[in-house]
Amino acid sequence: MIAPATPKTFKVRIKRQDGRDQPAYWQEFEVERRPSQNIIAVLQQIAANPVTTAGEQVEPVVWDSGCLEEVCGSCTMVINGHVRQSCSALVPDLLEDADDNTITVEPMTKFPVVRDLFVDRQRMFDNLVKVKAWVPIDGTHDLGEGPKESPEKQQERYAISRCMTCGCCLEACPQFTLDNDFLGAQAIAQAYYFNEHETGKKLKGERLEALAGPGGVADCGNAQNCVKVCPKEIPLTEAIAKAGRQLTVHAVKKFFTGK
Amino acid sequence: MADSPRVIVVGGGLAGLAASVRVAEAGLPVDLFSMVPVKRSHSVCAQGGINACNKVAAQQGYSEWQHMDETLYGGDFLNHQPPVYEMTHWAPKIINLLDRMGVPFNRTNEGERDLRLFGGSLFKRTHFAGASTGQQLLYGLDEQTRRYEAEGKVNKYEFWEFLWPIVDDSTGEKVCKGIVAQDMRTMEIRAFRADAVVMATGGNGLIYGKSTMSVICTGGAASRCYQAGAALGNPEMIQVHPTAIPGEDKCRLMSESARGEGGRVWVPRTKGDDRHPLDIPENERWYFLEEKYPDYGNLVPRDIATREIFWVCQDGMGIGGGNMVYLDITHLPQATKDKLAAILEIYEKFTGDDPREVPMKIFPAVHYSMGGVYTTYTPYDPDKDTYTPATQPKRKPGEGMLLGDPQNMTTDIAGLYAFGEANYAYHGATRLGANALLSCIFDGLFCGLSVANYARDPKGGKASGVADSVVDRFVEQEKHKVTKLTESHGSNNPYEIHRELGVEMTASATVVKTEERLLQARAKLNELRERYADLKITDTGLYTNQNVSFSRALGDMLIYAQAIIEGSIARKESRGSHYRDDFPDRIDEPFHATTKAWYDPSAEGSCRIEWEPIPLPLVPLRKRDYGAATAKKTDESKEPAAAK
Amino acid sequence: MTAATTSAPVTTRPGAPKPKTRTSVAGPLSQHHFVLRRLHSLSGIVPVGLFVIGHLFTNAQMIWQDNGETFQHEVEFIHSIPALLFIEIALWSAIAFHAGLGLYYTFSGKGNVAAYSYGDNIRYSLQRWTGVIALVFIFFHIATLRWRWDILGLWDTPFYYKGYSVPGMEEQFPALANVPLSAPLTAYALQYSVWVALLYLVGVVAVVFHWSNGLWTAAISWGLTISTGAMKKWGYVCIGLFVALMVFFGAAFVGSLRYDFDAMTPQQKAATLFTVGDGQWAFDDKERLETDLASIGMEAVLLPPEDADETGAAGDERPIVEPSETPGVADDAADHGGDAAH
Repeated sequence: MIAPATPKTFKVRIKRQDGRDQPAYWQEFEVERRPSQNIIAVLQQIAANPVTTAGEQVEPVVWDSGCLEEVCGSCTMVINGHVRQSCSALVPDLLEDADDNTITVEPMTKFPVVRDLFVDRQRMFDNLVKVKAWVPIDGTHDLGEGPKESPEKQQERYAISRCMTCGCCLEACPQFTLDNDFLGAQAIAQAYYFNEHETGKKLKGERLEALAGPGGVADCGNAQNCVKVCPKEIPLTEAIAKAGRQLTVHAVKKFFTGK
Repeated sequence: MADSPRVIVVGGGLAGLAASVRVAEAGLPVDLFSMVPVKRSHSVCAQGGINACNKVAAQQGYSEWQHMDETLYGGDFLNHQPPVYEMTHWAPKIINLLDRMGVPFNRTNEGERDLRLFGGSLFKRTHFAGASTGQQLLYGLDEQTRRYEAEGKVNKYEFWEFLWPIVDDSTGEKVCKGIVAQDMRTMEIRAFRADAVVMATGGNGLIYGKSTMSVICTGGAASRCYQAGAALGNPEMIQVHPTAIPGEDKCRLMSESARGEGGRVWVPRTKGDDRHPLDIPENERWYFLEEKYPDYGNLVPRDIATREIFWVCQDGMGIGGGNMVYLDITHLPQATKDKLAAILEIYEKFTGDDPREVPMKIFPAVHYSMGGVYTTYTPYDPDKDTYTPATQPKRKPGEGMLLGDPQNMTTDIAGLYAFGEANYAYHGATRLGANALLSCIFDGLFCGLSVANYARDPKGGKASGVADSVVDRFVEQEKHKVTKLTESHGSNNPYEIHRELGVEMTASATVVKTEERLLQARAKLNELRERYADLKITDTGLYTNQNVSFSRALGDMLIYAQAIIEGSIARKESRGSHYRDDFPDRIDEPFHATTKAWYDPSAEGSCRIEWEPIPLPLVPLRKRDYGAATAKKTDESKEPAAAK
Repeated sequence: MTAATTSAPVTTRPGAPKPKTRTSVAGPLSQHHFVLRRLHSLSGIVPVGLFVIGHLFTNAQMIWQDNGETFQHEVEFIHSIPALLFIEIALWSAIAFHAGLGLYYTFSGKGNVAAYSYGDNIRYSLQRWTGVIALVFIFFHIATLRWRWDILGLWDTPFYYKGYSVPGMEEQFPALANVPLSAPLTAYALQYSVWVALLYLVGVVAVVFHWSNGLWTAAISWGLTISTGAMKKWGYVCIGLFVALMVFFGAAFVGSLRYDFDAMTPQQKAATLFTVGDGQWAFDDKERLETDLASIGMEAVLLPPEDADETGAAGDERPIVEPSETPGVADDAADHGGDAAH
């Protein structure tokens, strides 16, 4: 419920960029308040009528979105300085701790900007290839049931499997930058996830070798921002620690057995 | 390798990924096109589960046959029986496969896959992975696709939009030989040749403005195939979910378990009462479901609840005169509220209101398109079955589809297939809960082989042999469309047209339809199409131009919408999700038939309707009437599952 | 025509923005990435860390106010260890290895405390800053006290301003001549300048924080603490270690500030004899100093100006005896010197 004293409009400052490697600039829009309004709705309102507070008709803002239910991971943005999904970023909450009745919306900084708020997160998917994030099944033919699994193990794996590759953990990670090769919490957690599956284990050695290389799990500086910004509340730091343990054991074994 | 047959899959949801995996496994290279990274496809949104006869239910008398029967009965017999037979018999195998792929299905103490009850059945036959089964299944297939991608067998084109099928009719028959697609970032338009093309492009919820679907579910791709000459099947069949959270940007599902646990649906007795809900005393609240259905109250079956809520709002009795009613759980004991925590948190997250304190505002929302691109299939024929070992008994004719036959799920354009929600094949007039995920994966896996077989021996020769002039024509057509859009300096805002389209379609062609209202919609659509011809585009650049993409899809949505309206007008009966207030009964003669809609710019609504009778080789027609007792039981049976 | 080419296999994603080449370390560094990382962790914890504990424990003996006797005893014990040089070389190598890689790792990330001011994130940044501070501090500490470097004269060091010498001392007290005598030197330095005191305070806090926080993160990296609960509990242990080491340091610090130079034995005085650029003596009582020196047959002699120049002193000739104020703290220390000397 909007209190009667609440202004009918608010301002949105959007960091825009016309293309890759182009200079970024800010534009400000005045937007009408509506009930249950989130940042996506705000962007839709702007798209329908892209006129800045200065009265300038501009090109509509480009952004990435999908399900709008916080499961597809598309609409990650930096809103009021914090990375999050814009579909679940509600205007009243954002205005509550904002100055001047203004919300700022920026693209993620750890990925190259395609245009405006739309960034290229291909690196996250490439990292999944690096850690061989799949179960090496024999094929799609009917070979009966999969391996049994305890409910506890399922619960542990399920929590990690909810990762929607949104990139919040990487955006907030001080160790993950545009130009280094750190894998980050997402890929490390996925590597651990597959190491814990009975068939997925077959590639454990290869995954751990990938985690041992440059940008691997040892590069994690334990700032633990990832777990705090994860919209799916995935126990990322625990997954990283568990991957670290697997790697320690693996390295010791390898040292003594040579394989 | 250079001249190896190639397959294009458009869409990276469950159906598209399953198809990619199956075709790649069959040894053909796959080009996979998706408007979004495939892992973000709309399949992630499915929460409930996936149905299959399992070993526990089988020992209690359940069978694949019964699963098929439930699906046909639920679909009010508008679904073809052989495909449904095949799908339900494959279901256990599909679950096993997904299990082997590492999908974290919930487990019992002994490590077996756990099961839940779901609507339309008295047996526990629904497998689930937490509260995000669709997401988990999609990821399982995404991972396998990535594996093939790493091996170079699947080539992904993410952020590429399908624009048009390349249809070669030089031989007198329409044969698909590839697609024209556009990179949504660089705006490059290119032709991609292929010997077979699979459309796995999902539903069309955006035609209704706000639905429970993702922003990419415009139905644009299906509409383009329709315009290129593929018929639509049952376009009027749209599933509406009774309780959704209306939002500024979309509608989000509110599980029925809220009602199951004692939630009460009401509106203020006085029209236009704008007091805070908690300030409205008990005697001034209208519990209309409880009043009209004293026996079942808030637990009336889905379609009745949907219609009642709809009617109340049509009468202007909705909250603030709008399209919303209260779903109130504030009176429930804390323990019950705790049990519902997961779904209550979703409400709180997206509305900012705590449903434990303030009644929720809900309204029915478009949820699934049963209709879609018309597809055919080859029924099982023991004489043509080359897969069943000679030592094993063969099935009877019509029991299922013929594995590997190139006809399976092909559209009216040869070499163009439609899988998953994009086709019309499995759900008839209503889809059963937890059957959608199954049908999508089944299409990909079962019919994927058909695609591979066809691509090895395509009609009209190899795609690489098609004359450049044929291909270039389509590229030029699409480039011209973009030029026309970027040079549109007319007076109509595309977002406004879309808003009006959504409002019109929701009001005329969702829960309750009447001839009168549909005719009004027909006129409105004509008006919108006229206005569409005079668009105002604010972004005229040629780099990552979402305005162009959206406006182009809007034109296709308008054409698809016309087919929905024409189908709804033509089907003068009530069946499944299609409820005609002026024809409230099911009329099997002549309407036990598929609405086959052909694109015809000269016809009313650019749409020509044909009726195609539906054979009944396995199960005879019977009245779809969940007995009162059953209805109640079914609804209750959903609760323990959904509340989890 | 180019638009209508067949969809041949493509190696790069068409239309995808060009990937930026990311910095990666060539050769052995990337080949043995993991081993180096673990050795980095280990080299910080074990040789360096354990040495620091021992060092701080030894220094803490300064608190006894016994003119550094207990402390000196410990120091002498250390110096009596055979092949000390090898141990020292090992330590220096460990420090150099840890610091070298540490610097490289530090610059591979980019702190973002301003945007995400969570405790763990602040410690991430602090770990890197304290590493750099510790490196600078340790270098100066060792260079000035152990190697007796006078760093380019920039380090206007009060540690060993070689204004005076005691000829014949080295022959007469060979043992003393080789002893670094860090206690009185450091004590004087701390008393002499607030800046030195502050440098030591910051430097040691940085070292101790870096070590105890490093211990916390190492437990995660090695996979010893894998649950959030375990990380938390181990965190308390690390805080405990931090506090314990800070107590050691506090003892050394306070002990140094209260150090009474005049209470030293004549031999110690001879070995410790020094002055500072502005002519301030470490000793309050010039006459007693001279008497003490005379009692062991010694005499302080002003070094020739050029010699002093070489070591960075101002060339001015200064009188040997020019009583002046010692730092205030030393006065206090002198007052209490008798009480503590037991």
